[in-house]
Amino acid sequence: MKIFRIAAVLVLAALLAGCSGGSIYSNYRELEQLMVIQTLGFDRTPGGVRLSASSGSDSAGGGGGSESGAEQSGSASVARLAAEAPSFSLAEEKMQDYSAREDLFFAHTAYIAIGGASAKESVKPFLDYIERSTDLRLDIPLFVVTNGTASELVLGAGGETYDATSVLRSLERNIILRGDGVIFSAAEVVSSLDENGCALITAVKSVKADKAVKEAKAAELTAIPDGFAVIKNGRTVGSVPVDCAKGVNVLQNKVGPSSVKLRVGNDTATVQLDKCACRITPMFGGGVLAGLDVKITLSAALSETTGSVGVQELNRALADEVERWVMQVLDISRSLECDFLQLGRVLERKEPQRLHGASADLSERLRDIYYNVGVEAEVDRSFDVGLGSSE
Amino acid sequence: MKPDFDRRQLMALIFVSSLAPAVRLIPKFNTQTAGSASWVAPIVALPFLVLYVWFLSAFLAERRSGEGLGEMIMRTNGRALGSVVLGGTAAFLIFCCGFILRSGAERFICTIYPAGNAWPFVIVMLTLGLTAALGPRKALLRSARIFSPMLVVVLVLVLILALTNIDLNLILPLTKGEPDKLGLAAIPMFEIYAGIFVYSAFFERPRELCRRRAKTYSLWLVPVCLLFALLCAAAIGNYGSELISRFNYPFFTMIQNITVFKTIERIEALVVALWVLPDFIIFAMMLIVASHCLRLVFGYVPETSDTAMHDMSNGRFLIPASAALMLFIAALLDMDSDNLNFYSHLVVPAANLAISCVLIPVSYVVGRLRTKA
Repeated sequence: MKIFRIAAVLVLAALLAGCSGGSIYSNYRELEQLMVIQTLGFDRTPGGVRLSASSGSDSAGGGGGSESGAEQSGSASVARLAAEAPSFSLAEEKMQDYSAREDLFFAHTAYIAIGGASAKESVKPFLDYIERSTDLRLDIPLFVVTNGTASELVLGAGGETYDATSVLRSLERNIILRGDGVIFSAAEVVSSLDENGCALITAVKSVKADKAVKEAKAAELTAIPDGFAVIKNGRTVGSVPVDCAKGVNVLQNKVGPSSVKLRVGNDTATVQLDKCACRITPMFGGGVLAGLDVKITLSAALSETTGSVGVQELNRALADEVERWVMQVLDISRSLECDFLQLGRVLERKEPQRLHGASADLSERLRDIYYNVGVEAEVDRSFDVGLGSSE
Repeated sequence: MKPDFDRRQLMALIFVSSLAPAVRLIPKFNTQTAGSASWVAPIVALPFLVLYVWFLSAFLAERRSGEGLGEMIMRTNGRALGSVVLGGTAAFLIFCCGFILRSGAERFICTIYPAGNAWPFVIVMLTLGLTAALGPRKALLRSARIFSPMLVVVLVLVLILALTNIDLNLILPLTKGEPDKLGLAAIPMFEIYAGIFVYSAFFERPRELCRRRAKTYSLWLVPVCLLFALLCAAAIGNYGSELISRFNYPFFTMIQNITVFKTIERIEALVVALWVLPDFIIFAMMLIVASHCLRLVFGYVPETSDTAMHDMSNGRFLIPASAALMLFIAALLDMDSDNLNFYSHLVVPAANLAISCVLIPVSYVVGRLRTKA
């Protein structure tokens, strides 16, 4: 009996072990043969979709040259691929066909870029693919490339030793550190679209890297923030420009130490935002929602100035600038009839009984409500030099 | 009669075996029914579960020493009616085990082995469960006691990591409207635990396990319900109720998106693999109970002491026979996505509720009337 038990355990161990090849699963792959894809680009084409991929500088990578059906280019450290097919799954397979040496591995995809024109048509197929795929995580940050295709950015960003992954990682880190933008994941976008049909996706612009970095080759691209793409009913219907994108941060209480240039009389000053608190309360008229009272309190530090500016003028200039951002963002929201800031959720939480259902239908009421925005700004310190010496 | 296992092991058995149906039903069914407020549903289920525990404890208090729930039903209901109750229970458990074999395999295929073959998973689980059912019962309870802390640690870690990203606007406010939906959303939690309480009662043959039973189980249910409420809140707070209700396995999808200190990610394969343990425990427990019921129905007197694994006397041949029936059921079940939902959300819960809330209470009433007469 003991021998029978030992034999049974050995058989089970052999069957259950990953190296048994074909017992449970036939798709085992060797680690050293994996090409870890870290950035994906989604575009629509007349024949279906174009999937672009970049392996990141820390992947085995490889390849070179290009093929007729799928393109592959790069150095020994970075691999970039693209394929067109009727669907993303088929494009993945097509890419794999042309990547003979490595198995493409999508499970660690860190960033997804969507072409601007494709996003204007519909982002739904892209989100559906992300939702269904067992390879892609839902918390992958999404970007919309406003001035071109995702393929251009994914294949053209970076150089021989770094790629779009490094570019987008750096962009993400800077945005989070400075707090002058918000990065939305696929899950957040899907959840917002489910909730009220509106969402924001961080927008980026692909630009020639040699504009800022002299060492960069003329053809190398990089990505810079370009505000937000506003998604309504599954497609881009507008944008929040980069000059007022910080208004989104202010309204979502996610402001970081980003710099703001202010015009104070004939001089200019630059301040660094410090703390910010935004309180949004509903205002009622005749028992229905009539307006939103937005109270913002923020403090900042003076970084530089071209002349002597008074603290009071500085405070007023900062308050005016922040009010301009916020009003611009709220006006975009109202003109598009699109509660992309998810203010409905905030209001419903504050007044659950009177505003029941606002998280779903505030978009429809936006045209009928007014905004009362009040900003209290205080530039309360400078750095190595005292604040008073600016006067 | 000296018990060869204690109540902590029995509770571990209940907890571990509940995790298999819980991750299949609770975040998904709840949100489909009650939306963003559904995370409260496990707490809503608590008073009903406490009532059920008190009822079951009152029922079990009438046992004689050495009797389990099965023996007592047979004695108090009489042979004919007792056979109907136990036969019905065995039939459901055989069907349910066939379903567990297939749904466990489907879980692997949906989450980490796309396009894999279900049958190796089915055969391995059947072999493991049959081996456990043929062996001493205390081994299964001790296994559950070993697995329980491991699974609790995993659940708590997942909870901590998931709660850090929660958006309170997705789970609040809670309004007093639509309490009926919240009541419906509480059904899975009630159904899972009521069923498992009944089936685990077949193990409770020593009288020592009956002391302060209702109070102990009621207090134990409080942290369990809170744990499930928090897991639901974490899932909904991360993805919103709409998205959660679309996922096949929201709990595992949530784990798929967890990153530990921006260093470790894609840990879902490990957690899905760990869920073999609840599958094994619930399958082996149900196989034991189903074969026990059948042995009583066919007039055998199941032994109270350990028996050699290959001994097929005294009706023990019904254990592998039940396992064979389960395999047959598993082969018959067609597990596409719609069918899985149909069995998982309707057939199995409805049958389970029918047994725990109709068959067992009726048996209790009949038993009381017969013993009084």
